[in-house]
Amino acid sequence: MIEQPTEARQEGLVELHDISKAFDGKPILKDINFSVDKNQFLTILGPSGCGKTTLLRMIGGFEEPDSGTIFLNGKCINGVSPHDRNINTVFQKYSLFPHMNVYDNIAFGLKLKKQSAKTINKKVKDALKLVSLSGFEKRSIEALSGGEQQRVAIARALVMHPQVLLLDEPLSALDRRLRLDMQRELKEIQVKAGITFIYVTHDQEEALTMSDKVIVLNNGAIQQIDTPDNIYNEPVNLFVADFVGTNNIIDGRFIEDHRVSFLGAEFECDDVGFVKNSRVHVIIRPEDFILGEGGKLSGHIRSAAFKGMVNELVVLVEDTELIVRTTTHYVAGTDVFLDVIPFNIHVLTEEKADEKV
Amino acid sequence: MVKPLKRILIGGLLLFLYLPIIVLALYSFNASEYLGRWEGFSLKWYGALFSNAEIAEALYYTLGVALLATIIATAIGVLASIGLFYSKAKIKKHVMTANYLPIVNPDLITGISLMMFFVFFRARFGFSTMLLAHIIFDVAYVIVVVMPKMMQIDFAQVEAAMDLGANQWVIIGRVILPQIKQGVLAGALLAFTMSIDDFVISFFTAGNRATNLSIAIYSMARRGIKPYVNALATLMFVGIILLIFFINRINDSKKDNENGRLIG
Repeated sequence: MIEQPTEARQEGLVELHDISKAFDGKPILKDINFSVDKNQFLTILGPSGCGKTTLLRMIGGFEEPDSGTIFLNGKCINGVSPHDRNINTVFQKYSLFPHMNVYDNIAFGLKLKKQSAKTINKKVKDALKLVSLSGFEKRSIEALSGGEQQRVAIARALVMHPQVLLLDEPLSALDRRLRLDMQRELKEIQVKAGITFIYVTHDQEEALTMSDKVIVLNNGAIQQIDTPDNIYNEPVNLFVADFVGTNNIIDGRFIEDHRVSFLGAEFECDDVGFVKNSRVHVIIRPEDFILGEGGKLSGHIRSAAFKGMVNELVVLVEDTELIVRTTTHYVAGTDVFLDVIPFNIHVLTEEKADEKV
Repeated sequence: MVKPLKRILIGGLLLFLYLPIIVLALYSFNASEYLGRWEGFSLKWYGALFSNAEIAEALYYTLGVALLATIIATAIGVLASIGLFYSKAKIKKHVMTANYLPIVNPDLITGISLMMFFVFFRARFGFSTMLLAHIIFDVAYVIVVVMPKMMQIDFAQVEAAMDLGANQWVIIGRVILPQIKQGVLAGALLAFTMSIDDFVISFFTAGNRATNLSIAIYSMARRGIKPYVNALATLMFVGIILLIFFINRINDSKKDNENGRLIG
C-alpha cells in the first residue's frame, strides 16, 4: 500500500523523500514520503492547517523543505526556481491578471518563453478549447464568472505543457452545483491533456470523485495513501474514518477472530488479528445498517431528516447515537431494529492503525 | 420643505467657501488700482503680471521645483510602495504609520526641522534645498495614494507570474505597474499640487537666493496688495482647480474598475 523502500522501487514522476518543514519552530510537515506516477490524479486530502498547501507549495517551488528531497523524473529539484521545474500551479484564488484579457493571461508564459506569435496563437486556442472556452480570447477577466475564471487559470497553466499540474483547492470558491460540474470537467481535462495532477482539498467528496490515489494528511503526517475506494471502505485509523465521510465510530470488544461485540450484542465480522478481548473501535457507515422488524440491535428513532435521495435518522441504541441512512421512510419517535452484515463491520484500534501507517 | 432647506444650506456653505476667491478673481479684472472701488473691466493687471520679472522668476522656481520634486518623489514613492508590497505585514504597517508623519506634522515644524537639518550639514540654501524638502513631503503623499491601489493586488499574482517564468523586473513591469498606474498618476498630480501649494516649508528651506510664487506673494502682500497679485492668485487658483479636477477624474475611473470587478 505504501511505497516499498529502496530495492527495485519503480520510479515515480514526482517523489518526496523524508520531507519535513517547520515555520517559526512549529512543525508543519513530518517525514512525508510518497510518489506520484505519470498521468495520475493524486489528491492530498486533509483539514485546514494540516500542511497540505505547504506540501503543494514545496512541490511547486514556492517553499523549500527543511529536510528531505523532492525528485522530478528522478532528478532532485530542491532549490530549483518555480519556472524551471516543468511544474505549474493553479492557485486557490485563480490569481489571473485582471488588467489583461483572457488571451493575454494565457499567453503570458509563452510570450516570456519568446515563442513565435503563430505558435502562441495556436497554443492559446488549443488550451481554450481544452477548457471549453473557445472564443473567449478577447473577454476581460472581470467579465468572467467564477467557473470561467477557474478554467482560464487552468488553461494558463496547461499551456506551459507542464509534466505536473498542481491545484490548490481550485473549486473552493465556487457554488456547489458549479463545483460538481467542474469536478467532472477537471477529471476530463486531466485525461485529455495526459498530465499528472496533484490536487489539494479539504473536501472528501471531491477527493473521492476525481482521484486515482488519495493521501490523507493530518497534523503534518500522512495518515493513509490509497485508492479512493479503500480510503472510503478501509480507513486505517480513526482520523481517516472520521474525516472521510460520515461514520459511526462505536466502542466495542474484539472477542476473537471474526467475532466482535458492541452495543450489547455479538456480531460476525471479517476482521482478524486483534488481541482477544481487547477494546476496539467499530466503524459502520450510515448506509450499511439494515433496518427492520427484527435485528440484533433495538433502537429508538430520535429524529428523521429528509435529504433528497435518503432519509437520515438519528437512532439511539443503548446510550449511543447512531447516524443511519435509509431510503425507507421512518418517523421520529418510533422504535426500530438494526442489523449489520459482517462485511460492513470494520474493526480498528489506534495501535493497529499506527502499525499500518 | 426639507429639500429646499438643504439646498440653501449647501449653497450658503459653498458661497461662504468660494466668495472670497470670487471677489479676488473679480478684482483681478478691475481697472482701478484700489480695492473696494470698481472702475470697469480691464486685463491690464494680467499684462502687468506677465511683464513682471520678479514674478516670472518666482514662477520658474515654483514650477521647476514642483516638476522635479514630482518626478523624483513619484519614482521614490512607487519604488517604496513596491518594496512595501513585498514586505511582511508588520513592517508594512509600521512604515505606513511612519509615512503619515510628514503629512500630519505641522508644516511649520517640518519646515524648521528641515532648515536646521540643512544648516547642520552646511548646505547652501536655494533651489536644491527647497527641492529636497519638497521631495520629502511629496514622497509621503505618493505612497499614501499608491499603496491602497497596490494592496488590491493579490500577492498570489506575483507567484503565478513567477510560476510562468517571469523574473522580478517582468513582474514589476507587466503585473504590478499596469495595475497601479492610475494610483501613480493620481499620486504624482497630488504631489505636484502639494508642491505648488506649499508656502511654509518652502519659506524655511529656500533661503533668500530662491523665491517661489508663494514666497513672492507673501512678501508682496506685506508691502500692500497690488492688483496684479489678484491676477496671479486667480491664475494659480484656476490651475489648482484643474489639477484637482483631473485627480478626481482618475479616482472616479478607478472606482469604476473596482465596481466592474465586483460585478464580474
